[in-house]
Amino acid sequence: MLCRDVRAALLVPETPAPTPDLQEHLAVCRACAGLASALATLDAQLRSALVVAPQSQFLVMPVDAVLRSALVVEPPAEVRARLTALADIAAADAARARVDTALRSALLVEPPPAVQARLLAAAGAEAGSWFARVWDSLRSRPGVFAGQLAALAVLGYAVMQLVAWIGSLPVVLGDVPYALELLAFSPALDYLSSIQALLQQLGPWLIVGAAGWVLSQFWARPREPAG
Amino acid sequence: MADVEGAVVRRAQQGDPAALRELIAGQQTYVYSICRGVMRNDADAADMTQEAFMRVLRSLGSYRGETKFTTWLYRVVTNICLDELRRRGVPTVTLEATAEDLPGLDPADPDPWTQPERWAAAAEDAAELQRALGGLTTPQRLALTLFYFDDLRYEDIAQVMGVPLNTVKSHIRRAKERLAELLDIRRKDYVRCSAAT
Repeated sequence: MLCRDVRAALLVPETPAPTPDLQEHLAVCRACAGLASALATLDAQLRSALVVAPQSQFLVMPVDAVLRSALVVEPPAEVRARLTALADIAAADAARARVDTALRSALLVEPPPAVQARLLAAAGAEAGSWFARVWDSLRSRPGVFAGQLAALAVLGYAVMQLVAWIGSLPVVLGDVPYALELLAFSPALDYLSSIQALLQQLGPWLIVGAAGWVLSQFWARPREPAG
Repeated sequence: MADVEGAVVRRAQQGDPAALRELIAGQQTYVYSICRGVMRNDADAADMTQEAFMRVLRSLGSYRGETKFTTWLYRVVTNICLDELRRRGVPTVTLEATAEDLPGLDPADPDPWTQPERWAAAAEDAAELQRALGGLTTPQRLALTLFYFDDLRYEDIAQVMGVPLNTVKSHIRRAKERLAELLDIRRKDYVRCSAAT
Protein backbone atom coordinates (compact mmCIF):
# COMPACT_ATOMS: atom_id res chain seq x y z
CA MET A 1 0.00 0.00 0.00
CA LEU A 2 1.13 3.55 -0.65
CA CYS A 3 1.40 6.05 2.18
CA ARG A 4 -1.31 8.20 0.54
CA ASP A 5 -3.72 5.24 0.61
CA VAL A 6 -2.70 4.37 4.17
CA ARG A 7 -3.47 7.90 5.34
CA ALA A 8 -6.86 7.82 3.61
CA ALA A 9 -7.64 4.47 5.27
CA LEU A 10 -6.58 5.80 8.65
CA LEU A 11 -8.67 8.95 8.30
CA VAL A 12 -11.79 7.10 7.12
CA PRO A 13 -11.40 3.47 8.23
CA GLU A 14 -13.60 1.00 6.35
CA THR A 15 -13.24 -1.70 9.00
CA PRO A 16 -13.07 -1.50 12.78
CA ALA A 17 -9.68 -3.18 12.81
CA PRO A 18 -6.76 -2.49 10.44
CA THR A 19 -6.60 -4.78 7.44
CA PRO A 20 -3.58 -7.12 7.04
CA ASP A 21 -2.20 -4.92 4.23
CA LEU A 22 -2.48 -1.86 6.43
CA GLN A 23 -0.83 -3.58 9.36
CA GLU A 24 1.98 -4.74 7.11
CA HIS A 25 2.61 -1.18 5.91
CA LEU A 26 2.46 0.28 9.40
CA ALA A 27 5.02 -2.27 10.50
CA VAL A 28 7.56 -0.93 8.04
CA CYS A 29 6.62 2.77 7.65
CA ARG A 30 7.48 4.87 10.71
CA ALA A 31 5.70 7.97 9.40
CA CYS A 32 2.45 6.17 8.81
CA ALA A 33 2.79 4.34 12.11
CA GLY A 34 3.19 7.68 13.86
CA LEU A 35 0.15 9.03 12.05
CA ALA A 36 -1.86 5.96 13.02
CA SER A 37 -0.91 6.46 16.65
CA ALA A 38 -1.79 10.15 16.53
CA LEU A 39 -5.10 9.48 14.86
CA ALA A 40 -5.92 6.81 17.42
CA THR A 41 -5.34 9.40 20.15
CA LEU A 42 -7.44 11.90 18.24
CA ASP A 43 -10.20 9.34 17.79
CA ALA A 44 -10.29 8.59 21.50
CA GLN A 45 -10.37 12.29 22.38
CA LEU A 46 -13.01 13.05 19.77
CA ARG A 47 -15.17 10.19 20.94
CA SER A 48 -15.24 11.50 24.50
CA ALA A 49 -15.68 15.08 23.26
CA LEU A 50 -18.46 14.41 20.79
CA VAL A 51 -20.47 11.60 22.37
CA VAL A 52 -21.58 13.29 25.54
CA ALA A 53 -24.23 12.32 28.00
CA PRO A 54 -26.53 15.20 28.83
CA GLN A 55 -25.70 16.80 32.11
CA SER A 56 -28.34 16.13 34.72
CA GLN A 57 -29.15 19.79 35.19
CA PHE A 58 -30.08 20.13 31.55
CA LEU A 59 -32.50 17.26 31.56
CA VAL A 60 -34.56 19.10 34.14
CA MET A 61 -37.69 17.10 33.46
CA PRO A 62 -37.46 13.52 34.64
CA VAL A 63 -38.38 10.88 32.13
CA ASP A 64 -41.87 10.53 33.55
CA ALA A 65 -42.51 14.22 33.22
CA VAL A 66 -41.23 14.17 29.64
CA LEU A 67 -43.57 11.32 28.86
CA ARG A 68 -46.45 12.99 30.60
CA SER A 69 -45.99 16.28 28.79
CA ALA A 70 -45.65 14.43 25.50
CA LEU A 71 -48.56 12.10 25.95
CA VAL A 72 -51.03 14.17 27.94
CA VAL A 73 -51.89 16.89 25.50
CA GLU A 74 -54.66 19.47 25.59
CA PRO A 75 -56.95 19.05 22.61
CA PRO A 76 -57.34 22.01 20.26
CA ALA A 77 -59.99 24.62 21.07
CA GLU A 78 -62.30 23.42 18.31
CA VAL A 79 -62.22 19.88 19.63
CA ARG A 80 -62.82 21.12 23.17
CA ALA A 81 -65.89 23.03 21.98
CA ARG A 82 -67.27 19.96 20.21
CA LEU A 83 -66.67 17.80 23.25
CA THR A 84 -68.45 20.34 25.44
CA ALA A 85 -71.44 20.27 23.07
CA LEU A 86 -71.44 16.47 23.18
CA ALA A 87 -71.48 16.59 26.93
CA ASP A 88 -74.47 18.94 26.86
CA ILE A 89 -76.35 16.63 24.50
CA ALA A 90 -75.56 13.62 26.63
CA ALA A 91 -76.77 15.44 29.73
CA ALA A 92 -80.04 16.38 28.00
CA ASP A 93 -80.55 12.79 26.88
CA ALA A 94 -79.98 11.56 30.40
CA ALA A 95 -82.50 14.06 31.75
CA ARG A 96 -85.08 12.94 29.18
CA ALA A 97 -84.47 9.32 30.10
CA ARG A 98 -85.04 10.14 33.75
CA VAL A 99 -88.32 11.88 32.90
CA ASP A 100 -89.44 8.90 30.80
CA THR A 101 -88.68 6.54 33.61
CA ALA A 102 -90.59 8.65 36.09
CA LEU A 103 -93.64 8.93 33.81
CA ARG A 104 -93.63 5.23 33.06
CA SER A 105 -93.54 4.30 36.70
CA ALA A 106 -96.30 6.82 37.40
CA LEU A 107 -98.66 5.77 34.59
CA LEU A 108 -98.12 2.04 34.23
CA VAL A 109 -99.35 0.67 37.51
CA GLU A 110 -100.00 -2.93 38.45
CA PRO A 111 -103.54 -3.40 39.81
CA PRO A 112 -103.71 -4.21 43.49
CA PRO A 113 -103.61 -7.93 44.34
CA ALA A 114 -107.28 -7.96 45.33
CA VAL A 115 -108.30 -6.61 41.91
CA GLN A 116 -106.12 -9.13 40.14
CA ALA A 117 -107.78 -11.97 42.09
CA ARG A 118 -111.26 -10.72 41.23
CA LEU A 119 -110.37 -10.51 37.53
CA LEU A 120 -109.10 -14.07 37.51
CA ALA A 121 -112.18 -15.34 39.27
CA ALA A 122 -114.48 -13.52 36.83
CA ALA A 123 -112.68 -15.03 33.85
CA GLY A 124 -113.47 -18.56 35.15
CA ALA A 125 -111.24 -21.62 35.05
CA GLU A 126 -112.11 -23.60 31.89
CA ALA A 127 -113.90 -21.00 29.79
CA GLY A 128 -111.62 -18.30 30.87
CA SER A 129 -108.69 -20.40 30.01
CA TRP A 130 -110.21 -21.52 26.72
CA PHE A 131 -111.31 -18.07 25.82
CA ALA A 132 -107.90 -16.77 26.85
CA ARG A 133 -106.12 -19.35 24.72
CA VAL A 134 -108.26 -18.60 21.68
CA TRP A 135 -108.01 -14.89 22.23
CA ASP A 136 -104.24 -15.15 22.65
CA SER A 137 -103.96 -17.24 19.55
CA LEU A 138 -106.03 -14.86 17.47
CA ARG A 139 -104.31 -11.80 18.90
CA SER A 140 -100.86 -13.18 18.27
CA ARG A 141 -101.67 -14.05 14.64
CA PRO A 142 -104.04 -11.43 13.26
CA GLY A 143 -103.21 -12.44 9.72
CA VAL A 144 -104.40 -15.96 10.38
CA PHE A 145 -107.49 -14.61 12.05
CA ALA A 146 -108.30 -12.44 9.05
CA GLY A 147 -107.64 -15.30 6.65
CA GLN A 148 -109.90 -17.61 8.55
CA LEU A 149 -112.63 -14.99 8.65
CA ALA A 150 -112.31 -14.52 4.91
CA ALA A 151 -112.50 -18.28 4.36
CA LEU A 152 -115.60 -18.49 6.49
CA ALA A 153 -117.17 -15.64 4.61
CA VAL A 154 -116.50 -17.31 1.26
CA LEU A 155 -117.83 -20.61 2.55
CA GLY A 156 -120.93 -18.94 3.85
CA TYR A 157 -121.49 -17.18 0.53
CA ALA A 158 -121.05 -20.45 -1.34
CA VAL A 159 -123.51 -22.24 0.92
CA MET A 160 -126.01 -19.44 0.46
CA GLN A 161 -125.66 -19.67 -3.29
CA LEU A 162 -126.15 -23.43 -3.18
CA VAL A 163 -129.16 -23.21 -0.95
CA ALA A 164 -130.68 -20.54 -3.11
CA TRP A 165 -130.21 -22.68 -6.17
CA ILE A 166 -131.73 -25.71 -4.53
CA GLY A 167 -134.60 -23.61 -3.34
CA SER A 168 -135.32 -22.45 -6.84
CA LEU A 169 -135.80 -25.99 -8.03
CA PRO A 170 -139.40 -27.36 -8.08
CA VAL A 171 -140.03 -30.08 -5.46
CA VAL A 172 -141.12 -33.45 -6.80
CA LEU A 173 -143.08 -35.72 -4.35
CA GLY A 174 -144.44 -39.31 -4.80
CA ASP A 175 -143.15 -42.47 -6.40
CA VAL A 176 -139.44 -42.36 -6.16
CA PRO A 177 -138.69 -44.47 -9.24
CA TYR A 178 -141.24 -42.49 -11.09
CA ALA A 179 -139.68 -39.37 -9.62
CA LEU A 180 -136.29 -40.48 -10.81
CA GLU A 181 -137.74 -41.25 -14.22
CA LEU A 182 -139.29 -37.86 -14.25
CA LEU A 183 -136.02 -36.37 -13.15
CA ALA A 184 -134.12 -38.18 -15.84
CA PHE A 185 -136.51 -36.98 -18.51
CA SER A 186 -137.49 -33.77 -16.88
CA PRO A 187 -136.42 -30.43 -18.17
CA ALA A 188 -134.79 -29.99 -14.75
CA LEU A 189 -131.78 -31.57 -16.26
CA ASP A 190 -131.32 -28.39 -18.18
CA TYR A 191 -130.78 -26.69 -14.89
CA LEU A 192 -127.95 -29.10 -14.16
CA SER A 193 -125.94 -27.46 -16.84
CA SER A 194 -125.96 -24.30 -14.80
CA ILE A 195 -124.31 -26.17 -11.93
CA GLN A 196 -121.19 -26.22 -13.90
CA ALA A 197 -121.27 -22.46 -14.35
CA LEU A 198 -122.12 -22.04 -10.70
CA LEU A 199 -119.30 -24.24 -9.68
CA GLN A 200 -117.06 -22.32 -12.00
CA GLN A 201 -118.10 -19.15 -10.29
CA LEU A 202 -117.67 -20.59 -6.82
CA GLY A 203 -114.55 -22.50 -7.65
CA PRO A 204 -112.17 -19.52 -7.77
CA TRP A 205 -113.56 -18.25 -4.51
CA LEU A 206 -113.00 -21.63 -2.91
CA ILE A 207 -109.52 -21.70 -4.33
CA VAL A 208 -108.85 -18.21 -2.97
CA GLY A 209 -110.12 -19.27 0.41
CA ALA A 210 -108.04 -22.43 0.41
CA ALA A 211 -104.94 -20.55 -0.70
CA GLY A 212 -105.48 -17.97 2.00
CA TRP A 213 -105.78 -20.67 4.61
CA VAL A 214 -102.61 -22.42 3.39
CA LEU A 215 -100.70 -19.14 3.34
CA SER A 216 -101.87 -18.28 6.81
CA GLN A 217 -100.50 -21.57 8.06
CA PHE A 218 -97.06 -20.99 6.58
CA TRP A 219 -96.78 -17.27 7.25
CA ALA A 220 -98.02 -17.45 10.77
CA ARG A 221 -96.32 -14.79 12.94
CA PRO A 222 -94.25 -16.39 15.69
CA ARG A 223 -96.02 -16.46 18.97
CA GLU A 224 -94.77 -13.89 21.39
CA PRO A 225 -93.11 -15.50 24.39
CA ALA A 226 -95.39 -15.92 27.37
CA GLY A 227 -94.90 -13.50 30.25
CA MET B 1 -24.62 1.62 21.69
CA ALA B 2 -26.78 -1.04 20.18
CA ASP B 3 -29.84 -0.65 18.06
CA VAL B 4 -33.05 -0.63 20.06
CA GLU B 5 -34.74 -4.01 20.14
CA GLY B 6 -37.81 -4.36 17.98
CA ALA B 7 -39.88 -5.57 20.92
CA VAL B 8 -39.03 -2.45 22.91
CA VAL B 9 -40.00 -0.25 19.97
CA ARG B 10 -43.32 -2.04 19.53
CA ARG B 11 -44.13 -1.75 23.20
CA ALA B 12 -43.18 1.91 23.12
CA GLN B 13 -45.45 2.45 20.12
CA GLN B 14 -48.28 0.94 22.17
CA GLY B 15 -47.57 3.39 24.96
CA ASP B 16 -45.89 1.07 27.45
CA PRO B 17 -44.29 3.45 29.97
CA ALA B 18 -41.45 1.05 30.81
CA ALA B 19 -40.51 0.71 27.15
CA LEU B 20 -40.65 4.47 26.64
CA ARG B 21 -38.36 5.01 29.62
CA GLU B 22 -35.97 2.39 28.34
CA LEU B 23 -35.95 4.04 24.94
CA ILE B 24 -35.21 7.49 26.30
CA ALA B 25 -32.62 6.35 28.81
CA GLY B 26 -30.80 4.31 26.19
CA GLN B 27 -30.74 6.97 23.48
CA GLN B 28 -30.52 10.27 25.32
CA THR B 29 -26.74 10.41 25.08
CA TYR B 30 -26.76 10.01 21.32
CA VAL B 31 -29.66 12.38 20.80
CA TYR B 32 -28.00 15.01 22.97
CA SER B 33 -24.73 14.57 21.11
CA ILE B 34 -26.44 15.11 17.79
CA CYS B 35 -28.22 18.19 19.08
CA ARG B 36 -24.96 19.54 20.46
CA GLY B 37 -23.27 18.90 17.16
CA VAL B 38 -25.88 20.82 15.18
CA MET B 39 -26.84 23.57 17.63
CA ARG B 40 -23.23 24.12 18.80
CA ASN B 41 -24.02 25.12 22.33
CA ASP B 42 -25.02 23.13 25.38
CA ALA B 43 -28.08 25.14 26.38
CA ASP B 44 -29.67 24.87 22.94
CA ALA B 45 -28.67 21.22 22.80
CA ALA B 46 -30.51 20.52 26.05
CA ASP B 47 -33.63 22.31 24.82
CA MET B 48 -33.57 20.56 21.50
CA THR B 49 -33.01 17.18 23.16
CA GLN B 50 -36.22 17.57 25.12
CA GLU B 51 -38.06 18.94 22.10
CA ALA B 52 -36.75 16.12 19.93
CA PHE B 53 -37.85 13.42 22.35
CA MET B 54 -41.29 14.95 22.68
CA ARG B 55 -41.76 15.01 18.94
CA VAL B 56 -40.34 11.52 18.55
CA LEU B 57 -42.74 10.15 21.14
CA ARG B 58 -45.65 11.76 19.32
CA SER B 59 -44.55 10.43 15.94
CA LEU B 60 -43.47 6.99 17.15
CA GLY B 61 -46.41 5.46 15.37
CA SER B 62 -45.03 6.56 12.01
CA TYR B 63 -41.98 4.29 12.32
CA ARG B 64 -42.69 1.30 10.11
CA GLY B 65 -39.45 -0.63 10.46
CA GLU B 66 -38.05 0.06 6.98
CA THR B 67 -34.73 1.11 8.53
CA LYS B 68 -33.00 0.58 11.83
CA PHE B 69 -34.82 2.36 14.60
CA THR B 70 -31.76 4.35 15.59
CA THR B 71 -31.26 5.48 12.00
CA TRP B 72 -34.86 6.71 11.92
CA LEU B 73 -34.51 8.33 15.32
CA TYR B 74 -31.29 10.18 14.53
CA ARG B 75 -32.69 11.32 11.20
CA VAL B 76 -35.73 12.79 12.95
CA VAL B 77 -33.56 14.50 15.57
CA THR B 78 -31.22 15.93 12.93
CA ASN B 79 -34.11 17.34 10.94
CA ILE B 80 -35.68 18.85 14.04
CA CYS B 81 -32.42 20.64 14.86
CA LEU B 82 -31.93 21.85 11.29
CA ASP B 83 -35.52 23.11 11.18
CA GLU B 84 -34.89 25.03 14.40
CA LEU B 85 -31.79 26.65 12.91
CA ARG B 86 -33.74 27.66 9.81
CA ARG B 87 -36.54 28.98 12.00
CA ARG B 88 -34.00 31.17 13.78
CA GLY B 89 -32.82 32.51 10.47
CA VAL B 90 -29.40 30.92 10.58
CA PRO B 91 -27.89 31.00 7.08
CA THR B 92 -28.97 27.98 5.15
CA VAL B 93 -27.42 24.94 6.70
CA THR B 94 -26.91 22.15 4.23
CA LEU B 95 -25.46 18.77 4.96
CA GLU B 96 -24.35 18.32 1.37
CA ALA B 97 -20.69 18.61 0.40
CA THR B 98 -19.54 22.18 -0.06
CA ALA B 99 -16.30 23.76 -1.17
CA GLU B 100 -15.01 23.41 2.38
CA ASP B 101 -15.28 19.66 2.05
CA LEU B 102 -12.85 19.52 -0.84
CA PRO B 103 -9.56 18.00 0.22
CA GLY B 104 -7.61 20.75 1.87
CA LEU B 105 -4.50 19.11 3.06
CA ASP B 106 -2.24 17.69 0.47
CA PRO B 107 -1.32 14.24 1.70
CA ALA B 108 2.15 15.04 0.42
CA ASP B 109 2.36 18.17 2.60
CA PRO B 110 5.03 17.58 5.23
CA ASP B 111 3.04 19.35 7.90
CA PRO B 112 1.23 18.01 9.82
CA TRP B 113 1.18 14.47 8.47
CA THR B 114 4.81 13.85 8.96
CA GLN B 115 4.79 15.04 12.53
CA PRO B 116 1.37 13.99 13.79
CA GLU B 117 2.57 13.66 17.34
CA ARG B 118 2.57 17.47 17.54
CA TRP B 119 -1.13 17.94 17.03
CA ALA B 120 -1.94 14.64 18.75
CA ALA B 121 -0.54 16.08 21.94
CA ALA B 122 -2.73 19.15 21.45
CA ALA B 123 -5.72 16.88 20.95
CA GLU B 124 -5.26 15.52 24.43
CA ASP B 125 -6.10 18.95 25.77
CA ALA B 126 -9.89 18.85 25.97
CA ALA B 127 -10.28 22.59 25.85
CA GLU B 128 -8.03 22.82 22.79
CA LEU B 129 -9.99 20.09 21.14
CA GLN B 130 -13.31 21.81 21.82
CA ARG B 131 -11.99 25.01 20.32
CA ALA B 132 -10.78 23.11 17.29
CA LEU B 133 -14.14 21.41 16.94
CA GLY B 134 -15.70 24.84 16.77
CA GLY B 135 -13.78 25.35 13.54
CA LEU B 136 -15.60 22.55 11.77
CA THR B 137 -18.66 23.09 9.63
CA THR B 138 -21.98 21.68 10.80
CA PRO B 139 -21.99 18.76 8.35
CA GLN B 140 -18.40 17.87 9.26
CA ARG B 141 -19.08 17.96 12.98
CA LEU B 142 -22.35 16.01 12.61
CA ALA B 143 -20.74 13.35 10.43
CA LEU B 144 -17.84 13.04 12.85
CA THR B 145 -20.23 12.77 15.80
CA LEU B 146 -22.23 10.03 14.13
CA PHE B 147 -18.97 8.31 13.17
CA TYR B 148 -18.24 7.76 16.85
CA PHE B 149 -21.63 6.18 17.53
CA ASP B 150 -20.93 2.48 17.81
CA ASP B 151 -22.77 0.18 15.43
CA LEU B 152 -23.48 3.01 13.01
CA ARG B 153 -22.14 2.22 9.57
CA TYR B 154 -21.27 4.78 6.92
CA GLU B 155 -24.46 3.79 5.10
CA ASP B 156 -26.50 4.51 8.24
CA ILE B 157 -24.79 7.88 8.66
CA ALA B 158 -25.65 8.66 5.05
CA GLN B 159 -29.30 7.84 5.74
CA VAL B 160 -29.33 9.96 8.88
CA MET B 161 -27.83 12.96 7.10
CA GLY B 162 -29.68 12.36 3.86
CA VAL B 163 -26.54 12.60 1.76
CA PRO B 164 -24.63 10.16 -0.46
CA LEU B 165 -22.20 7.70 1.07
CA ASN B 166 -19.16 9.36 -0.47
CA THR B 167 -20.23 12.70 0.97
CA VAL B 168 -20.22 11.17 4.44
CA LYS B 169 -16.69 9.87 4.00
CA SER B 170 -15.64 13.20 2.59
CA HIS B 171 -17.06 15.02 5.62
CA ILE B 172 -15.26 12.72 8.04
CA ARG B 173 -11.94 12.91 6.24
CA ARG B 174 -12.13 16.65 5.88
CA ALA B 175 -13.14 17.04 9.52
CA LYS B 176 -10.09 15.18 10.76
CA GLU B 177 -7.81 17.03 8.39
CA ARG B 178 -9.23 20.33 9.52
CA LEU B 179 -8.81 19.36 13.15
CA ALA B 180 -5.22 18.41 12.51
CA GLU B 181 -4.63 21.76 10.86
CA LEU B 182 -6.27 23.68 13.67
CA LEU B 183 -4.54 21.74 16.40
CA ASP B 184 -1.21 22.12 14.69
CA ILE B 185 -1.79 25.83 14.19
CA ARG B 186 -2.72 26.23 17.83
CA ARG B 187 0.30 24.26 18.86
CA LYS B 188 2.49 26.50 16.76
CA ASP B 189 0.84 29.58 18.23
CA TYR B 190 1.38 28.20 21.72
CA VAL B 191 5.03 27.50 20.99
CA ARG B 192 5.44 30.98 19.47
CA CYS B 193 3.81 32.63 22.45
CA SER B 194 5.84 30.57 24.87
CA ALA B 195 9.02 31.51 23.04
CA ALA B 196 8.10 35.21 23.12
CA THR B 197 7.63 35.15 26.87
